[in-house]
Amino acid sequence: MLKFDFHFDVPHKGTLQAHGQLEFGTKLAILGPSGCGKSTFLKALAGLSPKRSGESTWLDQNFNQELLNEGVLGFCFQSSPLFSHITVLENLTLPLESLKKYRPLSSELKKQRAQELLLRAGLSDLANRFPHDLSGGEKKRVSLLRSLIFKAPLLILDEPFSDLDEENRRLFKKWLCEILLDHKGVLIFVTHHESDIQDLANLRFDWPSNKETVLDFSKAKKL
Amino acid sequence: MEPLSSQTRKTTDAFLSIFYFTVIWLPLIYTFIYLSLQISSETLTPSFFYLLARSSLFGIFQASLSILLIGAFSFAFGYLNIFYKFNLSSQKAISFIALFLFSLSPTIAALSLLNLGNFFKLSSAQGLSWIVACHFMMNALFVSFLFAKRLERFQSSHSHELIPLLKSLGTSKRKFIHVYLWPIFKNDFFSWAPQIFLWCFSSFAPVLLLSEGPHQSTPEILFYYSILNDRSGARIFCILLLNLFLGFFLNRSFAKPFSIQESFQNNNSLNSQQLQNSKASYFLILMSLFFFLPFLLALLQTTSVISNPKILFFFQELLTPLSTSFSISFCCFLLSFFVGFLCVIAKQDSPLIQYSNILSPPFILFAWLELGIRSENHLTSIFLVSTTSFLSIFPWLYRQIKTQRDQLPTEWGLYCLSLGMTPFTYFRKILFPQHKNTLFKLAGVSSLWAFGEYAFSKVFFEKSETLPLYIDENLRRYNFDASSFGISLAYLGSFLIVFLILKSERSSLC
Repeated sequence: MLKFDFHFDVPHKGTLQAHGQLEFGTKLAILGPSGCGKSTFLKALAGLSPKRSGESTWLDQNFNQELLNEGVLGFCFQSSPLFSHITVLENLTLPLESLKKYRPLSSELKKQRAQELLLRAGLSDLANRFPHDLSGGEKKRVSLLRSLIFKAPLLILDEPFSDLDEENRRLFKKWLCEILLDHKGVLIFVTHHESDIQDLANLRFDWPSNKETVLDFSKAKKL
Repeated sequence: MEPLSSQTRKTTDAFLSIFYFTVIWLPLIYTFIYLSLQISSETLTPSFFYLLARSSLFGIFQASLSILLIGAFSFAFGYLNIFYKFNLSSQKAISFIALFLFSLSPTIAALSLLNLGNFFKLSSAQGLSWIVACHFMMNALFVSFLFAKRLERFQSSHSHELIPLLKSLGTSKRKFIHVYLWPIFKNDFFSWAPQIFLWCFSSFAPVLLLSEGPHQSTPEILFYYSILNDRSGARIFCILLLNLFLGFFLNRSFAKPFSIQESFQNNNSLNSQQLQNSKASYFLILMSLFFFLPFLLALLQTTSVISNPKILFFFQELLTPLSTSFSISFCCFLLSFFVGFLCVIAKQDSPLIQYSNILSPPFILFAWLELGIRSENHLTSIFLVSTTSFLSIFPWLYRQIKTQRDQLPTEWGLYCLSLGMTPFTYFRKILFPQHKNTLFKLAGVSSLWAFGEYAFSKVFFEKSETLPLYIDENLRRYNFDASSFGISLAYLGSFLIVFLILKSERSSLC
């Protein structure tokens, strides 16, 4: 279970307070205008950027290096930051090489797993390409796959379909829905599209107006 | 945020600053105070101040002239690139020559020009024009190449329809220059000119070797001679003060990080169209040959030496200088690589190191000598020269690495943090592979400079013990066979290193 109650700073907006608790099986969609602090909130929630005060916990444990190294968190960033010095396949196997529980696996098995995932997503021809050879949409999809490869119980996706055209968005979302059928953890994603909410979410949180400084996630709407 | 804790980075930063402070600034402060106590009116005569003012003006004048010529050449190169459409990505030889000349040790460049002048029996193979020619030869092609590359990139990424638009409006060439080429050039000029100006102003070996006499010296040369000959504390103090002031002023007002990375990068976004204009191709080849003239001459002279029975003698004679220069170069490479490695971890620009590029070789030399550091044997001399030449290059190296480090996306660090990566894994998997090539290249360039080190060698080694000293000695004795043979070998050593650097770049892109 994900519990949080903390204050965090949003550049040019001030300090906001967020609190709530998300049970296993929750698929929360966050909607809000650009620049309101959604990405900052997600990073602070996962312990990736500093909080002003308070804390967020996963199964009553703080997000620290030890917990994260167990493969608890799959984070897909808005800007798809793929490492430019390695291929797509190596970008996908990197989490498996870094996380504690996957380290004992042979590199062949790790590669195989990455290739299978690419194949399922219909991106197997990208395996040996470098990020600078990919289009924005391809980068986004690879970045998304990278956050899914180790089946993290907490998935945070920051605008996962933002750079995709309509056709790819539809196909990739369908594929993601299939993947997420098995996902029993917590999914949080940011979107600007109502259709994404209908397809993926079971809880919806609308970012409050500028005047409000409290984000009360217990008020999120069930779908 | 990133897996490398802020504490680790701060500690590395502090270590680098302490290292630099201990070996450079502390001896300097000590000698500064020590010298200030020796000020007396006896040695500080009006004629000395006149000399000081003249050398400062000469330094500024020769640097400004060099910048103007390099700028004009670079603009003309850009103009040709636009109107005659030669594609630079297909001109590997030119990129090689440009980078080679830029990375070449200034001493070797100055010595080869001296050789050229002597060979053609020019009455004055020394003087302002030769100093400027040396700066021009080393920088012009490189800077122009960078400018032309930026123009190509600009066209391919931002304005591939801008030129057709201007043409469709029937824009004249003059107008075209005014609205298109000149604004881009102006922007580009300010990114490299301050750094090159500082470089020319503090250029040491070319001025030392190519000036006609004391009336053509810079404050640094004056300083160098004062350390070695004059030994007047008050005078040394005044020159040091002026140098520090000028260096600090120029550095604070103008210096910007000037990246040599671009010259190495193959621009994948460019169209791989072949050379479109054969005349432009011939022009480029001829121009490169012109820049290569001193080397070609030395090579020609060497071929005549090869048939000479003296060749074995030369080889024997050159064995020690060559091995010493290579050892210095190798030590400098290792030092640069290791400290560069630490710079990758360090947190932010340390003002202590940032402003240290006002400290050119004579300052470091002076501080070390004042502390009583002397060479006792050959190995110590190698260590001392490689360390001091590394220290004089270090601020530049530091800036290049910091610039690249700061350009890494912050999300990379955040992503690694989300995986709970240890600092060591983050460094091994991400930071080091990202900077490996840059470290290798910069250490290569540092080692090239150390290979042609002159000022320190002159102090710590006997006559002819390093390659530049050997060349210089033979040039002074009008023994051109030996000197040209030495120059060719020096060039070939540099050639090899630049070749390896470029090869590593290409293989890393494959």
